[in-house]
Amino acid sequence: MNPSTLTRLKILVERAVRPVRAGAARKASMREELLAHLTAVFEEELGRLGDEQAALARTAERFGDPAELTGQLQASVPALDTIDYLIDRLADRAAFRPGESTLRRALRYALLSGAATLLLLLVMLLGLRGALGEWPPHAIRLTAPVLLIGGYLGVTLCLCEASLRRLLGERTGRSWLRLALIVVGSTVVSLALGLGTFGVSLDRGLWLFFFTVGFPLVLAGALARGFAARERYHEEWGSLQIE
Amino acid sequence: MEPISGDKLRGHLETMVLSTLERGEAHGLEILRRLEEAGCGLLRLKEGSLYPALYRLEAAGEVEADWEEEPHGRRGARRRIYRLTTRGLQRLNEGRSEWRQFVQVIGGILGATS
Repeated sequence: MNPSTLTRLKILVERAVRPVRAGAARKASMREELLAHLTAVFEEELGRLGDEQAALARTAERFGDPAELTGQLQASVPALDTIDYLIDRLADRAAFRPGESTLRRALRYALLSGAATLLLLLVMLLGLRGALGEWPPHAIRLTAPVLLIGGYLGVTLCLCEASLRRLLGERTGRSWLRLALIVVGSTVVSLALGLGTFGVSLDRGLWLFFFTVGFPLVLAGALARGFAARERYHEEWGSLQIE
Repeated sequence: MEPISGDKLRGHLETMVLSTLERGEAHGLEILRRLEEAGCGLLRLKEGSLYPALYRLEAAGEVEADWEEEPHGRRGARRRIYRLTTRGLQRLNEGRSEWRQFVQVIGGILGATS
């Protein structure tokens, strides 16, 4: 089967599956099974008719109207799967946009984690003001550096995730080296930022390392596999023009 | 005889699928072949429609499925192999009783019982 025929079969599948409101895992499973079916039907028809175009047309006819199938597939999705669908939609918008450069994503993550840090700081400052009866001057002085560290956490998370995702695809010495450089670089920058602000001590260094490198590294490890699956989906299915 | 398709099949597809699986586990295309064979070529089913029916049966615990280990050259796409569960067998027997009753009642009204 030539690649263009396979693409046309995938388009048939994608027309039916893409509009279904279900979690990514369920839809991936539907795609694979329907593609396996269509490929087998196409081969059967090609053997019978001996012409690719005619076999494709007959395969599409046997498969049925994709829009009608979408409705039937949707009806087979359990209601709870809507939660997975919404989480996937959120992840598509906020966490991982296929095709986005790592630099741009790092900037976006920095802004998001900076905003989350600011929100947390405001809550803490309001709490302190309520307890002390005045704005704590020491805490206010530290706001800017804490925001900077908060934003940097987003950058580290993005760089570690991108590096781990690449490592999942190709376990080469170069990929390991890239990850090691990112971890070492992030450690140096975050310790310089943090210890420069809060003063040098072993305890502070360890806490800073945990919050700005260790924690993002663990989170990146959890995200990398999911993002790799999204990336593969986009390359194989998401980029198909189904209209 | 005219082919049986669309609305006439609605409501019976799941029981018919269970019936094909009584002969042993099978993937989607094999289930369709069995249906076609049992229907003497008179069943006209849009093949895509089989899968939502299988997913509903699976969600109801009436069939179980496993991915085949090798894609057998289908460009990496694997098939799922379905098999009947005890609950599925029970549903099939209920479906058969309902069908006999249906044929008896409607056949009686139409004056078409054998």
